[in-house]
Amino acid sequence: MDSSRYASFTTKDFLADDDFVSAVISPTDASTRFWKQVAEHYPDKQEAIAQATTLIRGYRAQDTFTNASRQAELWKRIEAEVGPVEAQPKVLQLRPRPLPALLRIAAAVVPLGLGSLFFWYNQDQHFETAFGEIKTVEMPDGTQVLLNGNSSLTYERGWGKNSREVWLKGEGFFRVAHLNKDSTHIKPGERFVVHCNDLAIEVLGTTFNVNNRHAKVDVGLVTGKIKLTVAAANKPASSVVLAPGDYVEYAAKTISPKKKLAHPETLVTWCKRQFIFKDGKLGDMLKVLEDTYGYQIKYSKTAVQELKIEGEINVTGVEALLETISASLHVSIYQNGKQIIVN
Amino acid sequence: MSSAEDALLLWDLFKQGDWNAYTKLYNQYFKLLNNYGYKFTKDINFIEDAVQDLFVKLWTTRSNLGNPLSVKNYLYKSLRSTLFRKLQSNSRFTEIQDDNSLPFEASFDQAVIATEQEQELRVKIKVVIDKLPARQQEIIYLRFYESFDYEEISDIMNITIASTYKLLYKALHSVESVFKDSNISNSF
Repeated sequence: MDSSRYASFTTKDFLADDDFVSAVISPTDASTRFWKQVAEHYPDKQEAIAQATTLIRGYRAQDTFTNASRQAELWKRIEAEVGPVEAQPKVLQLRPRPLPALLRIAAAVVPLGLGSLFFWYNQDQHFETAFGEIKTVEMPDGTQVLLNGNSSLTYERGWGKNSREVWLKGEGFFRVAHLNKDSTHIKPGERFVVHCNDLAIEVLGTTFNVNNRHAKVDVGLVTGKIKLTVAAANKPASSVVLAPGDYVEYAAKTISPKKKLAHPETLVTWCKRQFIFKDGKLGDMLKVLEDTYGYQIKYSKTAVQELKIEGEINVTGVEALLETISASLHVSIYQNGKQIIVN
Repeated sequence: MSSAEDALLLWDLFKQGDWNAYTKLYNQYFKLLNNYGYKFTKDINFIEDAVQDLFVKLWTTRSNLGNPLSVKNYLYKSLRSTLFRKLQSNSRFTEIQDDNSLPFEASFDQAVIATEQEQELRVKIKVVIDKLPARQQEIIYLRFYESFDYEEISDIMNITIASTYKLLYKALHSVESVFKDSNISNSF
């Protein structure tokens, strides 16, 4: 390397020199040797070199903010938004009745063109899941809805032209395709609305979980922004806007105050047939088995339902859940087919 | 193989839809991106949302992405524009038209053990740099902390290479005043 150009360098020039800067930041034996030679060769540049070095090293001694403790958490949010859906094989089922296995494979393989043709000429589209069944519904706009057991999703013929509206019973996780390009001009077809009884959930593109059972709707938002509106006959509609991690319950015409979930991604653990409860009450935990798996639960004493498991449990599968409850609350649980008796 | 080449290989796999490669990209750059974002805002939720938006957009548009100069470079550039865009849409009613107005601030670790002279100098550096306009602070950061070269900086900050030189020299002109009356011995 020719060093003659350094004869006229000032501190500023050294700081602007690529070779010099990289020799300070990531020195190699060769580069250190070279700069030593330059300093010896031009003694009057020694101060400038020293100043430039000190400045770079001093500047680099600043704090780093890595946010490392949030790395895994944020990844889960990203995964929930775009990650592979870990549900059962995709089945486009056009009738409530389950198709024979062979037909089911055929339905999945038939090019989408045929399927969407069917969509247009069919009346209301209706998808249902049996107890314990989890199904992905792929809508014409690319929106994915993961339906939990004992749930249904309905939308009208010619869907998506003027508006994207669906009706949900039971529980579903929505990953809505974002069509809006300009948030100041929202076209009607870009709006996506989920109706649960008289509650409307309005979104542009986002991921959230809705549980509409027992005259009560629970809504938890994973990413994006949604607006909930309650339709009322006599008074103006009331609405609430949710931010990521917000969770509300709607019952008796009223939306509860917003709660902030520490782990919004746990809203959709049911996709993996996982059960996660924090300080869960026995009654609430077994209610899930009734709702989505079709079990009938009988209690010898109603007070048993109030027993609580302190802390968090995280198990996969019905059997594991029953074992955990039985062991930690010292209750006997008998299972006979779809009947569960708690003593 | 250099880490930059490794990153480009990973990038290629990710573009083909390899979820594993995408996960690795996230894990490799998460901390760096957070640090960079933190220079613009201390609102951690805001930074996290921007990082999330950035990665979600990467995945959904992966088939249209090209091959960047370097992956790190591309991600910095994208995070920067995501932050600016989010900031503008958050304050649609205030008149932020010029992206130069986003503050940029480097913070210094007081806990690092240093000699008294070094400590004193570090404080001086901080005082001088904190007074620089945001864009000058940013170029100092990209140059001396991240060691990006001129071409990369011009790409990230979306200015010409000539402007990059000009901006850095302007910043260095002020920085020189740190040494007005200090004596430093040879460090090589």
